[in-house]
Amino acid sequence: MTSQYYGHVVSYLDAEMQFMLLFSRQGKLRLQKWYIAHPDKQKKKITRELVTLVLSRKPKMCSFLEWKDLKIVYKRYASLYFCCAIEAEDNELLTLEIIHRYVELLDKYFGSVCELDIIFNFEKAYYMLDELLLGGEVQETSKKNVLKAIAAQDLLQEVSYYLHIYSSFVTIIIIVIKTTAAWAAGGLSRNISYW
Amino acid sequence: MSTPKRLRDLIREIRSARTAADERAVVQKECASIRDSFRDEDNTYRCRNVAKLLYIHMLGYPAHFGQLECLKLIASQKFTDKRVGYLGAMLLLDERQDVHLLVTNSLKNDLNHQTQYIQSLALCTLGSICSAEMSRDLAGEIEKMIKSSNAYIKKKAILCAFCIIRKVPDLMEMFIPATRSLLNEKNHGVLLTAVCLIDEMCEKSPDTLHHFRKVVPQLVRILKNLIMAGYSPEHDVSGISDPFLQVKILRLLRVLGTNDTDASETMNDILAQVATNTDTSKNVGHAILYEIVLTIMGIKSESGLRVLAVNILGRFLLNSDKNIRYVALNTLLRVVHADYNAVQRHRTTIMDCLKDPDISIRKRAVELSFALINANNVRGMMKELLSFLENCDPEFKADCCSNIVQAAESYAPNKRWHIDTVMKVLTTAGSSVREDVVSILIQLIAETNQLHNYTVQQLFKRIEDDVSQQPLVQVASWCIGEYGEKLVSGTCEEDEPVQVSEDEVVDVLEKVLSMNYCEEVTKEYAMNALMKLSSRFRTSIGRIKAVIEKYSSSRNVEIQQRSVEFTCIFKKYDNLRSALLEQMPLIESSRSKNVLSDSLENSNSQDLLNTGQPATTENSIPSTEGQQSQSIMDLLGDVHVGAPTPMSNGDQTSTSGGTNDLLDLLGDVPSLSSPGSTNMPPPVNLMDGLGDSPPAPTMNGIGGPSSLTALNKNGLLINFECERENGQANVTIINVKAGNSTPSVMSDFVFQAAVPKSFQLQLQSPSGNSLSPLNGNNVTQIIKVNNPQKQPLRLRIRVTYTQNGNSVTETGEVNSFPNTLWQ
Repeated sequence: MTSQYYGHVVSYLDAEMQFMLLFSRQGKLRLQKWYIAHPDKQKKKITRELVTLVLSRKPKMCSFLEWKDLKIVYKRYASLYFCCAIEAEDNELLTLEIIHRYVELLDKYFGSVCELDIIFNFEKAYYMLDELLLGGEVQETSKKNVLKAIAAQDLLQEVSYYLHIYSSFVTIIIIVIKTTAAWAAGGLSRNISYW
Repeated sequence: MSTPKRLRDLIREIRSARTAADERAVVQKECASIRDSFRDEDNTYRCRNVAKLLYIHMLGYPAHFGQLECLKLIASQKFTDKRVGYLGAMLLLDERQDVHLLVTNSLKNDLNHQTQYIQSLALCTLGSICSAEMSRDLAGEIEKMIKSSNAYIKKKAILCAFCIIRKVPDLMEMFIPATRSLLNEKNHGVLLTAVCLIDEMCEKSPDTLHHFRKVVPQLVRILKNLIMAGYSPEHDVSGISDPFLQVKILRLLRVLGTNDTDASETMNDILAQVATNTDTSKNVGHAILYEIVLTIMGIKSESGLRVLAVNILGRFLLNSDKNIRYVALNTLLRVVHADYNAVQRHRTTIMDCLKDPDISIRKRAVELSFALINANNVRGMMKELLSFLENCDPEFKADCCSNIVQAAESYAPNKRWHIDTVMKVLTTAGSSVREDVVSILIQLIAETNQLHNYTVQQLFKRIEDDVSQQPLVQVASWCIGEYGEKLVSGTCEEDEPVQVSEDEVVDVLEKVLSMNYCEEVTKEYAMNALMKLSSRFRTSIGRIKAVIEKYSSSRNVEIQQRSVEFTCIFKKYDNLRSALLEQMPLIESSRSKNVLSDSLENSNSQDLLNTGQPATTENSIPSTEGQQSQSIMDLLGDVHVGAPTPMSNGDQTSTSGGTNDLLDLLGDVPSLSSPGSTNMPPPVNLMDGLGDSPPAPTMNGIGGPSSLTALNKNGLLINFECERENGQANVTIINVKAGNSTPSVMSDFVFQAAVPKSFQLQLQSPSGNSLSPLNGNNVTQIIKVNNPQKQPLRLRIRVTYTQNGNSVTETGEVNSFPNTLWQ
């Protein structure tokens, strides 16, 4: 029943960002984050359309294009396109900064990030994005804070993996100790494959 | 059961698939094993399986069978499980899922968890899914969390509130008290999200907007601190202190200052300060300046500030970064009407952008250029725009042409310049010109008497060697037809006259007619021009005749018809020819659209036609070519105003101010009813209506006039008396007799009739238009029906009259004619 009310008619509400897509030069989707609800079919259609549109742009063209009533802001980093849809009223130059901030964070986290890092650790790329943006809006402007939050959660994950501790009380103590220790050591082991 | 494949191995396997089919096979096999594992309620590897499923989902395969597994992961105690479970929920659930209730319960639990990172996962998921029901259920929780002392949770809760209000504006009320104090916070994350939230509230409700106007000084202070504070590495982006926060504050200031003088006053200083102090060596500085410009333009700012804003955009245009140039043009386009003079000052820079390598920038620049044209700069601008038109991408041409023509019309310094400009458009943009330009130029030329010589010579010069530009050839043909004698006279108002011989002119028109690539419409123009020239040229009439006749068997019906009709005029009505082909009278402007509709309104015969064949008008409208040729015929037809016409006295259309045109005379029904239709009777038949062919032996002896009742309704009786016309085997004469048996008078009596396509109808004037009561008088009217194919006679009739102030319309069909009338 709800589908009648929440079709894409109502969905173009103002959020800084409506969605973000990462895709390769070959048009392979690497990450998709939707801040506005669409049916799955619609998402696929939009993605297909935009990937074709952006890939057909020539290098000397600017990073913005008008698409339906949205503005598309995209930027290519190495083999990967970062593509965001924003509202007509939004600041496209700032959106470029947001994309850049995200790339910087990934770069810090993976250590000179490349497409393969994002393919094999796509879930981590999502976690990072979720610490930077929430509901399509920037939530944290300090890179340090974002990385700190991610590191702490990675640690929490490790702890829960190795010790299978179900009591969160103990977990917290260990996190506190481990976080401090890890930060003192100047880095965290983020490549542990826990599955 | 064996251990499921690791995520990493699955990704490798999928990537190594050579074809799409291979990839599909790998995915299907894996999905099957994931399903099995889900069915076995395997807790150890659920997390791994969901992660694999998310990867498969990203590749575009269906993965919704994983939804419930995500919920199980969320309910798990392990952080890893929760993290993957929430990620899956965000990717696989959208707000339409029935599982929402389950998610809402898990979210409620986790929002109250002691571990902040689990709270954070729940907040993030709420912000992502945020259906209306979920918003209502969890708004209370979020409101509590906004008051949290933990900045990490606080900022996320604020954004969740933002999402909730966006979805369910009714819930705004409960968040307002908690929001007020947020601007006192020091943490940038909290400040940034709070500004977002206030912005959203203000945009949703005017009352709240009013309420938050009082935070303007506070926002100004925060902004001031940001730009005054020294370097803080944590929030610095290439030398700018927290641009994200600055932009958000500027945006909120815009919302608060719109239509409010006091609020705008308060922020003037800080806006000027930010505008002048921001370092613009990088993109980020421009992002802030761009936001400043939008704010200055959006609020009631001082005029000095507005000029500053436009100048900032002017500087943007000189930037080497194409993105910044694009943004500048886009914004200038939005403010050009409000700050016309300030924008005008940057005209040269804007015109330079016409040569930009980026097509989107060129597109904006063109739009902006047209907005900046005025009477003072029109010559210079037009020169630039015409040279742009010459080299621009094909997709721009049509719009650009129409805009140039429009601008030329509004700001032309003189007629000569105006005509030259439009001609230049036709020469440069060739076939991308829209059709309206042709009629606009013809109109313009016709109006400008003093330049006829010049124009027609210029046009001839242009098409002499090249007839590929269709619109140009059309205009030129029209002018040559109209002003042919001026072309060969060798005089010109301004320039060196061109010496052209009559034969050269006919050569060019003949070339147009014979070229394969010339459009039909163009050929029609050329055909008309030739016909017109026959009365303007002296020596080459014989040749013109020959050329016209050549097309009497053209495969194009329109051209064939013209050829046949024109030939007939030469042969049978040569005495009328020069009167028929007189120069066109000046037509009222905006004629291009009105010709057809006017002719529809004025012509009664068209009306009749509609009665008889309701579909014909609809049929003719979608075919633009048909319309075009129709209007051309009408143009030609208009020449005859006042010319002696053989049968006009009996033609009902003569009542509408002499607009009966050539086509009406030539047997109006078929050619008007289906322009361009191929199933017309052979055009030669059309001429029969003129009734001038020698009397043929007839067999008119069969019976006298037969009588029948066509209509008997409400006291109105219409009788037909029919007989064959003497000497005309195919023509039936119907005497219409109408009488009124009611006690009151019928005034404005009009009788109309229509026949099927294979007939031609002549309706002569009635004996009167009023029927006295009680059969006091009769109105009589004669109908002549030409029936060349000897088909059973059918007639549709329509009668209108006014009785006692009511207008009455009666229609009927008469098909009971005796067959002796046509056999």
